[in-house]
Amino acid sequence: MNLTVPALGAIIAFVITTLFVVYPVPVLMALFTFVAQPLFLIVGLLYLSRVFTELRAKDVL
Amino acid sequence: MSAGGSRREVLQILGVLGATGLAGAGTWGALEALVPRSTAEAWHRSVCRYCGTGCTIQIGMVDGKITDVRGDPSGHNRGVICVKGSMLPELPRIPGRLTRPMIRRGERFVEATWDEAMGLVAERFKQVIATDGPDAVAFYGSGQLFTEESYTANKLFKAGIRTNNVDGNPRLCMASAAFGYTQTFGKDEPPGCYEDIDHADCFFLMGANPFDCHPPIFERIRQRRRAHPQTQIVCVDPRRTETAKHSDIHLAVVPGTDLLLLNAMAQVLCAERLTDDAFVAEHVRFSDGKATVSFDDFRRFLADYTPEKVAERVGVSANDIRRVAFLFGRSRATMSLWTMGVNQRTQGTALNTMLNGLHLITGQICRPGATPLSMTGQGNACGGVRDTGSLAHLLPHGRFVAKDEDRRAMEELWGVPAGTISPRPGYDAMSLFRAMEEGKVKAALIMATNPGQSLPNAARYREAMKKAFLVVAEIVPDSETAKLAQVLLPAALWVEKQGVYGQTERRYQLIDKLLSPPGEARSDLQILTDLAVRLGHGDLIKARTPDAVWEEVRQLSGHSKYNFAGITYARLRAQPGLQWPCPTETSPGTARRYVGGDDPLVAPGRKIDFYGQPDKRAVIYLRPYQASPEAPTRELPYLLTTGRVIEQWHTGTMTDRIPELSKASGRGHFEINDADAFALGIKTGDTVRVRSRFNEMSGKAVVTPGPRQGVLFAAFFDAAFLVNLTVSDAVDPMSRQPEFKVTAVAVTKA
Amino acid sequence: MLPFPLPSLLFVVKLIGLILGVLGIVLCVRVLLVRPGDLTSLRPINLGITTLPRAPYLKLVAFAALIVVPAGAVAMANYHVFVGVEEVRGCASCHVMWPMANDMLNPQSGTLAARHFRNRWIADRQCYHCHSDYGLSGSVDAKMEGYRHLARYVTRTYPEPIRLRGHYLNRNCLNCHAGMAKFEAVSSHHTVGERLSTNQMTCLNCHGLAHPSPAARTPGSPEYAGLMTRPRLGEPR
Repeated sequence: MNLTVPALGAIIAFVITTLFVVYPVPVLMALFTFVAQPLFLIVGLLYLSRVFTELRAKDVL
Repeated sequence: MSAGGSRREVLQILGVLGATGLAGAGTWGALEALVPRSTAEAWHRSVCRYCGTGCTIQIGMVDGKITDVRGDPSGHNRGVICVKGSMLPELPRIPGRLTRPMIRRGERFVEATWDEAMGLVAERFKQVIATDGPDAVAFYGSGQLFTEESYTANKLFKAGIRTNNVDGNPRLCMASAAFGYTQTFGKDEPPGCYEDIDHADCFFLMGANPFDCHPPIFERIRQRRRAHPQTQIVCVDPRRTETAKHSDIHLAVVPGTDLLLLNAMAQVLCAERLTDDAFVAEHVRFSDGKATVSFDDFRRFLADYTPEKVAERVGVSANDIRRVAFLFGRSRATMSLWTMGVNQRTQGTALNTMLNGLHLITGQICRPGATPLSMTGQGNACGGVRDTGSLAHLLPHGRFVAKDEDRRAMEELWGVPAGTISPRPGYDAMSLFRAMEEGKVKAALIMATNPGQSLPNAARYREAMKKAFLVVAEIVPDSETAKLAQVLLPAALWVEKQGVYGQTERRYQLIDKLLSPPGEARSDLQILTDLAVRLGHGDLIKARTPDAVWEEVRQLSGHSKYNFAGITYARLRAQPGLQWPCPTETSPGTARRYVGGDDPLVAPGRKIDFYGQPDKRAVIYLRPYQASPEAPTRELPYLLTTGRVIEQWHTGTMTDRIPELSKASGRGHFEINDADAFALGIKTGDTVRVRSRFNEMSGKAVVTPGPRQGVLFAAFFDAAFLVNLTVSDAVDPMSRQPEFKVTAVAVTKA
Repeated sequence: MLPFPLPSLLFVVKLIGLILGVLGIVLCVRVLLVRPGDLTSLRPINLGITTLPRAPYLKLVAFAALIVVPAGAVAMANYHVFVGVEEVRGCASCHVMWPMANDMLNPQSGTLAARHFRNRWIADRQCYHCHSDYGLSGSVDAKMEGYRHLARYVTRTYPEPIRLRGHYLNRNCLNCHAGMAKFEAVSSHHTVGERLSTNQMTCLNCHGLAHPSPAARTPGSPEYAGLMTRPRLGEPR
């Protein structure tokens, strides 16, 4: 299972989120809301889809 | 990693970033599309239809219907209106609107076309003029007509028909104030403005209940006190109104006696050296009404008015009078505000001139927060009637019928032959209806007012009106006046027509047309111009649209001290009104008149210039107190005073047809002092009989500590409770304004 | 009694958020460094409390890095979005709100915000008490409006002066005022009671400006420069 892309995406999202948590200013709030959150969501879905595919391949699901 | 793998990864990364971008932008886009609900789609600036506060409002509309009315935050009222203004969305929808012209046939009215109705009106007017002369016809107008309308009526009757029988309901509400300002300053209208409220340290409220009757003005006074807690509010009123309850000192005076109070205050100010002698020496002249007298004469005249000498008659303590006088004179800035309690009096003019006088002897004038501000009752009594000179003794912009040079000037400005304007002042309101009684006035056009309900001693004049050929332009067919008409003309209401309203502080504002009038209703301007043409005065009345009339009026004003030539419709649409003097289109308007640097008509180099008077000096009058002809007697021991309540406007033709307001005010009733009620054996809900010299009526009683002992109060909005039947029609000999505020009555349990 | 002051919730959130953020990045980097062979390896990794074979361990790391820790970090960050905005300084972090904050702090101002603040009728989080829709317990509509405001603000696609696009809900006033003796004593409140509770009419009609007028907040107006200074909020009261 190749998780390079999700991991890279998550790193970007984490950087934004961490900066925002420590400096809750409007620009970072916007980046968090409109970029980091969707990115986390997409990354999560990508990861889950890959897990699902792998489990399928192993006849678990 | 294989090349294919890394390319796939790059594509995946781009895909993820792209998806994120889409998600982010898409979310934003979805948020933009989800427009939150508001009460309206489009907003238009306008002016409230009701009182003389003249609130700037924002009218919200959806699909061509008014859904919301709010105060305009950029207006002088800073977003504040009152409960009546808040209910304005209901006004265009009131039930029972008059939609077709009607002609009386015996006891009934029959619908007619405009041509039929106006044809009949013109024919009768021509007939009367031919057989009895122009002074047998009259115009009775209103402080609720647009300026363009009052001006046109004034011009048609005075320069066309050639009678000065042009008067209106401002005679019943503002005449004493107009006379007062004119006698004091040479020109009508207040020197100060609402902005003075933000700077005053002492408010002297007299004969006014702004909490109920000019609510946004009172809110502004309260704002001043919130920002500046040392502000003192003095309230002079026979009743403990909501205004009185919010004041620091309440002087519950006996109705009719308060010139004693003002003269006593003047006495204290002079005796305690609270006068500004330097100001008086430079800017003031004293007069006994006939000749100039000296400041010393004034002091001697006041010797009869020491607080101790007047206290018992006024019904307040000498100590209180001294306290109030001290506050008035000594406060850094004192502002007086008054309305009907002062104006609707047989000594209304004297009260007005003395109020102005108190400010003049103390120098409490012509600086921020210090000014005598007469609050106007109606929304356009100032701009429409006083300023256009639409009263029986006036010509436009401060001119007088009786002055040869003023008539010549108007004849020239109007382009009519010399001698066109009659030198005889016409009938003032009360004289007009008496003339109808005597058959001297045979035909009259009445617009936007309801004298059948609002005149004092109503029964007499209702009978009188039946004798004349009355043409009534109204919004409903069943007002008390409409019932007396021979011809009823359906009129447009408020934003169903376009025109200018001018309120208390010399501010003119534009009401744009936003709705179509119902049925065949027309604007009062259309009715007047139609009549003008039918009477053969089409050449005189060339301006027939609001735009054209306004152009004419504002240009005309440039030839006077009421100069508002710089107030164009365009400027009125760009900002929330302008205060005149405003001579050019770049003038910002004038907040404080007679003050150099603010008022452009002030002579250069002068700080204060009372340019309305030939010697540039404002006049203080020595006027002795005269008891009201309605002073209580043994037979009529109580005093009836009338007024308004917050939910209802005047005779209720509008507000009493709006359910929320009608329900909130309840029906008309007598407020009786609790001590008096106890002595008379009256409880709330009992029917009482109230009898005056003029008439008698029954009504429900409400027992309350509000009115002072010996005083009854009633509001006049309820057509089924016609309190004006009993009210005195004695008038001020100078202003000819009736004394609604003082009527001697007897009260018994029915 | 503890010998040291307790940290505020805000501090705790920031601390945990920082820890989770850093942890998340570390875990993601670990995921990036996975070699294909690791995923089938069963060599044990000692974690102190237990030992796990390599492959399952790495799968747990991935799960933590991409699901669990992000959830935690997002939760911490959303504290600012939903709770932090209830603080006055939260509102004042956007400069278009400075006029509202400055006016509120102005002891001479007659606006409703200033009067409520000056008289201490609201103890803290003054903006939020009247604009309660913004916080966690407000309506979905208000949340969406809030996000929209954020997007407009950071992209500078707002007109100045800013204006409310929907309308203000009277329940924000009535929550405190309705039923109180002074409120019930005013007859006009009953006259239009239904209109007020259904938002057909605004309380501001009689009670005036809540904040400086749009005219005052227009660039170039005489009051603009004074209103657009950074407000001095000081310590929370």
